[in-house]
Amino acid sequence: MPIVVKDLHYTYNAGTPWAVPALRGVSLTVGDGEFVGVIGPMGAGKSTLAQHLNGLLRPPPGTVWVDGQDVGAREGDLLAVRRRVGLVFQFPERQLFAETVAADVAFGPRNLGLAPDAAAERARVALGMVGLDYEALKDRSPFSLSGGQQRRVALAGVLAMGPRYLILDEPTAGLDPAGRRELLGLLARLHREQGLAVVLITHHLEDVVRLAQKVVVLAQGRVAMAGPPAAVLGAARRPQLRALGLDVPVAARLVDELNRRGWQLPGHVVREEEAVAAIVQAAAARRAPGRGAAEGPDPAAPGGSRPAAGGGDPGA
Amino acid sequence: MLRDVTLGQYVPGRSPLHRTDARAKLLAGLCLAAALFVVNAWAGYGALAAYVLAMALVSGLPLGLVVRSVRPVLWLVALTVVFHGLFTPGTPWAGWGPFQITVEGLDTAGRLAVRLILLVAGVSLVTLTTSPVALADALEWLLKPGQRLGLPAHEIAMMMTIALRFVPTLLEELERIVKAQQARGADLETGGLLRRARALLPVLVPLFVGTFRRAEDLALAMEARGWRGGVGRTRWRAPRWALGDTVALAGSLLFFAWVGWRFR
Repeated sequence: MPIVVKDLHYTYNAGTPWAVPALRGVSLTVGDGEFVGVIGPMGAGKSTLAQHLNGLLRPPPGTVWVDGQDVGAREGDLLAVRRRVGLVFQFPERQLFAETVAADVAFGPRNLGLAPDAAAERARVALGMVGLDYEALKDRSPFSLSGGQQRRVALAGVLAMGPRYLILDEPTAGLDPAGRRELLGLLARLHREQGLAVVLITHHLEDVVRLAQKVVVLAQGRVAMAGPPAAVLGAARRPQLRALGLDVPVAARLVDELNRRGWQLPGHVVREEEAVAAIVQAAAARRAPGRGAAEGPDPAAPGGSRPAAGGGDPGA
Repeated sequence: MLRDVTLGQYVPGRSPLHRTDARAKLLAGLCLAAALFVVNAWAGYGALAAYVLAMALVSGLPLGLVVRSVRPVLWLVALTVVFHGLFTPGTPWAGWGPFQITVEGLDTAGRLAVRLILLVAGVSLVTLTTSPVALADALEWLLKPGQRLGLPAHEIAMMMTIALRFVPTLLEELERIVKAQQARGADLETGGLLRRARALLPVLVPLFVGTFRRAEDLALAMEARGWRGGVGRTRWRAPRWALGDTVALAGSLLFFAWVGWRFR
């Protein structure tokens, strides 16, 4: 069963001089076990959307459905929604509060009414999922850990609720490149091994392109584009993404740059590995004219010697 | 709920009240408070209420906003009304057994309520139409005579600016933390007093940790930019006192003096 959002509107401070429309009719679906990237520039409504998915902001009845339950329904069981939809806020380490790591991670399960033993067991499993050693950390204060560890503990605190959907708001913000790679790897593993549906909210297309099965681009409170990464980030769409102030992934930029110099690489190539493969193939075709299907009849390409020099090395 | 707090909130605008020098507004506000506590006749309250209403209209702000700013003190008003209504001796007006509401009690209660409401509305008008920086500068100017007695005027004004500056920031942070804990199933809205107080712990601890972190960052940033107190500090934007400010202030003070003298 999916999360379904239908024509969701939301305005902050409605009826005051500070009224700011944040969402103006957003519709999207997150399938069971699907990895969805939600991208958009600052102020596009990403975080507002996230808070509607587990009822922190109460959607109007009939606009947000989680596994068939209307989140906005009066008398609705919000705790049931929050158990199913785990929301990891930006800088989640800032919500840590307990004296020990074990107590903090067990906070969610305890709120669900689990007995101390069962909650502790959940905490142990959840810390394992984020790659931390329960025995070594359980009695330490969360404030004594490093920033990266704190973030994982906070993530474990949400995972311990046993959600089917994991929504993360800018989870890599403030991490160094290594920490970022690690965290994205962790998300990929949770998606693959636990079958979790993941909604990754970010303004880094780079993060999304590698992992997401579906990309939703938000701009000014509306869905500007949606679809598989290759379609949304395809060559035809890239100028539009740039206009929104989003950085197009490096691999796609390289493809665009080469095409401007007369190469004919397919525009739907956005992932690094695909780009490398396509470039190698095209370079090989250039070196042996006649055999390459796409590159053959192209004697007019400017700087004809350059691709030979550039393409020779990766091909070898 | 948290966004309802209008305390110290500033709504930018170009009305005459916005453009009046902050020092004039601050002084007029203080004198309004004094007048409110000198006046003892209903007609006097009427005159002062008319003044506050006129200022609210001049400010060009939605009236609802000014009314909303009074809301936080309404429970205090209600409390005083109940106490005075019940515990002032005099002619009974209504009552059940030992509880007697007296006419005199209602009268006193009404006066107090009007005083409080007008006071808060007046002060809110000042903060709603004055940027925090201008307000702090005005306060510093007001405290300056005390400097000779060792009063750290600049530091007090700076502390006030910083405090006002961080009210919305901390409210935002509080809201975030509340939501983050609610996302983990925390129940902050039901249960008895003790249960609720304990439920606040997961909110208060991160809020304090965050506040200290911010304070340290801010102190470091201020030092990095060479802040070392008020001695010899110049201003980028010096407030300029115009003729209109003199007229507005003098007019207000004369009005307060007349009302205060006439309706003692």
